[in-house]
Amino acid sequence: MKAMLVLFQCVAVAMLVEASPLQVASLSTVMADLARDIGGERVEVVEIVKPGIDPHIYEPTPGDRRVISHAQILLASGLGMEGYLDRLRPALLKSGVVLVVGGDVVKTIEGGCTGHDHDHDHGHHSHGTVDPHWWHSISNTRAVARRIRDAFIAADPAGRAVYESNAKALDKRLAALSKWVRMKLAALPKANRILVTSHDALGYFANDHGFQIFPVQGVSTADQPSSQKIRNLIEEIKARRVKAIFAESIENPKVLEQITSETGARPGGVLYADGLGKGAAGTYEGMMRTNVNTIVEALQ
Amino acid sequence: MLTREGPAPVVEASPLAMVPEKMETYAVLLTATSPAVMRVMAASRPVVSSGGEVKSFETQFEMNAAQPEDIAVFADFADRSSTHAFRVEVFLDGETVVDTTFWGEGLIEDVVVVPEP
Repeated sequence: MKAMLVLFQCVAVAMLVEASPLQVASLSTVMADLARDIGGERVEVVEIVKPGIDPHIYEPTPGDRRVISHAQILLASGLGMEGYLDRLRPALLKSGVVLVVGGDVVKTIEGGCTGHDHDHDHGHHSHGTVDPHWWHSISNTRAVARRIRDAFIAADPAGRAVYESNAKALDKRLAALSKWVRMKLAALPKANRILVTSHDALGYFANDHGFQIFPVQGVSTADQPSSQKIRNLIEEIKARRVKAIFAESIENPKVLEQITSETGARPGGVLYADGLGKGAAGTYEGMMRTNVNTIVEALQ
Repeated sequence: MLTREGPAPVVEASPLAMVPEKMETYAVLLTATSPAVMRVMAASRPVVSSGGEVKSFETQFEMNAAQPEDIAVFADFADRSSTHAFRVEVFLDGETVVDTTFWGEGLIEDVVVVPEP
């Protein structure tokens, strides 16, 4: 009878373990999306940084810290995107939360906020010399997806087959996405591949697809460009006959208005630079397709 | 971390570093293991098509050799069940600048990047 009771308890515990999904918190909207794809129903993803929130200036609230402490895995972009990450590490260690940093497994490029000088303090986050927006290179995203898969398997070995199968399907879709991007951009003459953006966040995309970037840095109220810099930029845009200028989250529309009115370049639309958006841009694949469609339509 | 490669240089445009035009004729030769309808597209130029099914198709593009365009190529095979090879060669002044082969079934479509000199 006692043996039966022990067996029953073991089965009940096993069922409970199987029923409770792996708890994942994410500071990156892109990594949250990958995690949902790879984890499926075995994983519950809580987005600390949600679509539409600027990850550069985000600071976790005490409530966020509680959520993170109850997670088994925390996903972060890294490379300085989350300036508070080092301050979180002791608490993560204490709570036994496994930190998975996308930036640890990507091929980096220099840049990110290259348009302004780095003598000043960013305040909320600290860009280094490395561009933290690694997800704009699909090959980087594929590498991060593999890292997430491995972290899930380590935390939940029973789900290995599911994670491997889902990750394989995701990788296939990302390969197809990469090809779709190349096919779309093939229609865009090289001379037109110039991105004038409000925030220098598309360096990886530019690097992969032969674009040049002119960031209108300083459109944020915290970092105004000098009038000389604006004049130089206007001359560059005129000389190169740039067709369109892209907004990200324009905090100073007057600068953009000045540039468009003096150059004849038209507003090219909004690009999702710092993470996922909503609607069609609510998934990684959707965000990439939205950005590429916006770029091709404006610059063709 | 010790073995990690350093970051690559950023691709920010340097002021007034525009590429002077140098127009040249590029020849594109497409060959396949089976007959296919072949098409070629370079940037915003009109698509050039073989019309019917062929095993080989050649066309030419005038492009700025200082900044050559990417070339999109397509081969639509009537035989959808087999795996086919589709070879793309690009020549400039008789010199091969691209030679690559794609494999696939049904419709093969891809992009070749023509290197800058």
